[in-house]
Amino acid sequence: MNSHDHIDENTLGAFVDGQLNEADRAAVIRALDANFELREQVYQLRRAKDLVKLGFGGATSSAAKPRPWRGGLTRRPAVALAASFAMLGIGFSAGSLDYSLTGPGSMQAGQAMQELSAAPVPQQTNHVVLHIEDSDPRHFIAALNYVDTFMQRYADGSGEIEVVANAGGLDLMRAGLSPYEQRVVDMINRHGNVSFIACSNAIRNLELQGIEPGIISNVDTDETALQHIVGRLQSGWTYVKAESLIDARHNSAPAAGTAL
Amino acid sequence: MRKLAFCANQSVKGRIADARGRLYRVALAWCGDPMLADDLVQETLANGIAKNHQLRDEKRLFPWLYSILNNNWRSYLRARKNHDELNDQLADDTAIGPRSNCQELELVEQVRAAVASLPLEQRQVIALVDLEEFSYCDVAQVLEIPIGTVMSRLHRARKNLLSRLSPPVAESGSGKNHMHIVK
Repeated sequence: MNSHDHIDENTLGAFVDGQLNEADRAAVIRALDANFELREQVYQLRRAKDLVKLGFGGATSSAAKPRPWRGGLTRRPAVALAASFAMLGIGFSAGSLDYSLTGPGSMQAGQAMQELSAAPVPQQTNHVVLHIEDSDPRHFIAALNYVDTFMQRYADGSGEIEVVANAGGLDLMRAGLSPYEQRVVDMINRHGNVSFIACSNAIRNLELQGIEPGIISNVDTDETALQHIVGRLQSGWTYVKAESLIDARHNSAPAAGTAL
Repeated sequence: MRKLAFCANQSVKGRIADARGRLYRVALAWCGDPMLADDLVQETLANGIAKNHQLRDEKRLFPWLYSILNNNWRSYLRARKNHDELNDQLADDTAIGPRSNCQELELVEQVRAAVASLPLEQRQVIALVDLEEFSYCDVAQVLEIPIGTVMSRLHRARKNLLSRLSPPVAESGSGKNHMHIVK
């Protein structure tokens, strides 16, 4: 198997699910290296996995303790099932989920997160989650400048900012690869209210390709970017996307008035 | 010896009782109804505890429990004459309207709604693979279907899920599987 043409969707799924033997896995990785579309498909499959985990991973039974059996499942009214589906179907706004947090450079995450950020939760402008998902050095600079500006604004310690990276953005937090490694290290060491979070999925993706991620010390790696950002938005944090910081006039500085 | 067997038996029962949370997540993904999911899990736990002596290999506890859960779920559907739920094509055609109604529900609810709109057979597979991280072989065993069916349902489930939550995903080729499943 030397060509990606021989890799069908079921095989890609098996790759994502860790179901292939070593030889086949290596063959898929070679094909991924050579073909962007194939990589995109893998990222989409991983995204689907992440979404399912996100949707049900936190579900907890209302039956905290064993309770008396109510006499068998078949006694439940049939309408209950139908009603439940109808209930869950309410508000299905698929169009607002155009994100690709583990994608190879898709820029749609911000739109969805901005929309989520606009949800009716009181926003705290002194709590910011700054998302970067590509390896454009201009975005790195803009993000780090934004953090600096933020810390100056909240020098009294009343603010908190987290830089969350996935996909290409992970390069910002990779030791020996980040063009701004020392600056990141200094920010972490100097400020207790600045955190850097590297997406666990993005790290795993690199590892699956045989690449050592080499994440900078004290960068958090426990969560996926999606999980973390959604959690923060639900807590009322302000979402800012690194690329949105680039002002056309200055090209490397935070856009005037952006969330600060 | 009898005492040892008794202790082992108690240990299995304890593990079964502790499985409630895991079973519930999958049951909820299958049926979409928290109350029904609770009932399914309750019955599964009761069956599992009553029949724990039938479990020959403790390492197979969860596949075994999910087989019971699947049987209970199918029994429920049969009793309710919801056989239409088992028809992939029908469910595909009658899925919940994806772009309607309120725009403000949170991501988790949107994902749950999207999963709920999948055909039952796809829901079962995607829940076991993505939530429980079962191997394809285990899923095939639990659901009593061929492994190739597991893979095709899983692919359709993910494709449908993404199409309900985002713009269509790029299609891939549709050739035969050329690789070997090892788990």
